[in-house]
Amino acid sequence: MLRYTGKRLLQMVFVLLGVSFIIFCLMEITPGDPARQILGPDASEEAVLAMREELRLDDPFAVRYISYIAGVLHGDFGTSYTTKEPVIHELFARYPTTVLFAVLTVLIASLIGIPLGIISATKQYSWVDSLSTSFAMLGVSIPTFWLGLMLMLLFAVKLEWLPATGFYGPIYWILPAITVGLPASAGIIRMTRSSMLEVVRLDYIRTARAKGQTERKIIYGHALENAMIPVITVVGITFGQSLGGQIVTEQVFAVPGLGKLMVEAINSRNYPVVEGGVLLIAFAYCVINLLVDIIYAYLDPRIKSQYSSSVKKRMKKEAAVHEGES
Amino acid sequence: MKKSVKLTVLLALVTALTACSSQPKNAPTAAGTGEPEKTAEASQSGQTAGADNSTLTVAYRTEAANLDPHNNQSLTAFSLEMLIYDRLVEKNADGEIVPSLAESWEVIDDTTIRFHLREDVSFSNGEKLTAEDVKYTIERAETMPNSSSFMKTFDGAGTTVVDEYTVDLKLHAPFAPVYNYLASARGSIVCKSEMERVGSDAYGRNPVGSGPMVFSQWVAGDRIELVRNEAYWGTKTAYEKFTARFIAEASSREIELETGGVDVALHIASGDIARLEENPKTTVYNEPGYSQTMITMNQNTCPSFKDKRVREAFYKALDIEGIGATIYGSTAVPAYSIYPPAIMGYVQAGSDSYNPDEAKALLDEAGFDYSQTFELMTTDDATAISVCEACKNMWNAVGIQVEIVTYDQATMTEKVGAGEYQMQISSSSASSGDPDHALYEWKSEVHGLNTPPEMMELIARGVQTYDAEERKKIYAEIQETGWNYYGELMIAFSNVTYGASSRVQNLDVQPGSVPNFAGLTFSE
Repeated sequence: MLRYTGKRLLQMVFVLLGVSFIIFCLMEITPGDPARQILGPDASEEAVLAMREELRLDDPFAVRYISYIAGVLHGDFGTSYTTKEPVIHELFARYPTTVLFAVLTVLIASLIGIPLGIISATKQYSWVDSLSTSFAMLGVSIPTFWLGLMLMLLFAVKLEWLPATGFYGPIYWILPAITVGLPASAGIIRMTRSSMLEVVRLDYIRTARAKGQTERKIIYGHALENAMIPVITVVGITFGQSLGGQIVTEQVFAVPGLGKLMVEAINSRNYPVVEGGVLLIAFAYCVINLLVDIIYAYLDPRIKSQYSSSVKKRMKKEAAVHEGES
Repeated sequence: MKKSVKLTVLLALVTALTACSSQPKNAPTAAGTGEPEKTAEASQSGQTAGADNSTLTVAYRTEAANLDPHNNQSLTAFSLEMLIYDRLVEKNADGEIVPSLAESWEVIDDTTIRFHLREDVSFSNGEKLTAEDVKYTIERAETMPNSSSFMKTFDGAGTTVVDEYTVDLKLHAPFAPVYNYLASARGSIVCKSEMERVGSDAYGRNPVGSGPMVFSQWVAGDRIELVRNEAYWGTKTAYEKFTARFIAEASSREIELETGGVDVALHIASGDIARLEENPKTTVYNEPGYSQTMITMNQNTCPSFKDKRVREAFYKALDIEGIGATIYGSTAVPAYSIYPPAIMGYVQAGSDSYNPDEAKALLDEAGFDYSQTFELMTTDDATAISVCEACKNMWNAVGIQVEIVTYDQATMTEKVGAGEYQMQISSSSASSGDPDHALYEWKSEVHGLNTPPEMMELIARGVQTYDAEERKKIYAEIQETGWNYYGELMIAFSNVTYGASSRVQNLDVQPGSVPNFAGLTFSE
């Protein structure tokens, strides 16, 4: 297991290198001169050239890339073109907000998605099922932008229960978290439902039924755990995506998160912030992926066995598991 | 065994989620609001803005990069700089220049003005504001890359300190807009010793001024807070605290105003105006501004535009009244001059001349090549795109082929800077309110207007004429000449549209979208 994790961490380094290279290339070919952005359209050509010089934009691509990577390895992500503050400060001023937002989103999505998915599956074709599947359908099709404004109009303007924008405390978190969590729950409902339906058709469940086990015990005691594996993936992906910042929702609710920062940085061609931000997002995504894989192992002994270093042993174990199953 | 595994997993999941949520509970406080104890205060100020007169909360559209008067291009920064700093002179609500840091001044010659400074002014760091600071500011404004194109007529090196509170401001050439420029945010006086001690970048994030408000804290991405300068030499503000919040989305600003979360919301979308007008708790300010929207025809890249008949045809094919009514509604008026009525010396140079038949005739007469397609460049701004689409259809009706190309602001700025475009729609606002500033595009070569020499001469004369009446006459002539030249297709003059709580009084609806909130009061 340790060895596996180590291998994955090593892979992560290469992923991050690749990501940084791609983003560097993309910024290279994107039109829009950062110096011109800082100085505005009226600035003289000399001023723009001097600024390019100051930002070292005229250095060859390879020189800039290598010096950037060298800086990153020393923990220096550069300085923001606009605020002149270290990028690392800019990112970490926003990141806790984004992490909190992501956690709330996943919490809401799971709290809605998993129970509804289970009910839907156990009571297939009942009114609860059709209600939750249509809810899931609606969830994936509603634009978050619209949903956010509607929730604001209802809860902030009409009912006056909640504040409209900002992210200053629990009462402020509710609307943005629901705005992102509700649509995200749709995927979880669908995954829970289909995975559950698949599992309850397996032989071991039939055996449990034959034993005379209560339906409650069968669902929560036997089926749920096995059905959770693909659900964990969806939850993990949702979490990973949320860690990249919620571009639209942060804009609508004026949440000072990573998404808002990144959009502003891209618009102003603030290269160091964009590069640092993308690296941070990629890093978070890799970590979440790894965590999801580790949770798998705990949920599913078959997967855990695969992590053991000896292939022979793994094959043997797999065979044993298969035998046991059949 | 199995049960215990399951339980552990579920527990692990739940604790992981709750642990995460309980840990970062303080995290956004740290990140989102600076210090934990200020969170309660902040949320309180956010929520109770509707009832509490001690804090003024304003929703701005964008965040500033810094609050250094000479190191940014941001309207938000300009507006905050009006509160944090003082200027030699101010412009009052009637547009007249009145004393501020300068108690009085005399004109020594065409390029020298002697300012007598107040002696009771201190910066927020406790230092006295003296003539040295004024000279330093002028020198700095002239040379800083972000302000140099605006302040280039000021001669920093030639400006001399006569004594501690007297300064002779020098100009490179006679410059009638001098007081307008000095009264703008760019004219804000910075503290020389502090600037030299901490450097530009640090100063911009932690500014030191002598104005009615003092910088308190900056929560990146969220807000800037100022507190009242209790030692201010002039009229103190009616509120103790000022919070500038950054809410990019227009609908969110409008909703936040309705819920009482902010007292003033800048730049209300035209679609939200009716809603706010109906609401007894809110007021809409929809007043003429310095902003103009036009389509530039670049003669450098499109030789067809060198023929005046072609330019005139392009204009006459457009139903300017129709565009104004359908796209802008009550937030703009059709543009019938080359700069808006809110700016000194305005005359209505043109009128509704929509006439597709005449346009067609003009094109035929000029031997226009109908097979060519013109590229019309725009940003992704919804209003600009709507205008482009309306124009495109009207041009199509007379046989002109136009293709709309959308770029993001950064790309567009670069293309404009390099003069690499055929046609572009743009909105500009002469924030100083001076007619010379409003004619920027006519003076610049990159736009390819090929401004006729007689007009350039008039512009040069206008900027050097100090006598107001004389100056107005020159600008009337400039507008007539520019209009009949059809150098730019003038579309609309936009209003400044702000929403405010009905308790707000004396709101300065500055036509250049740089509101100065110093004089704002609350009704009981």
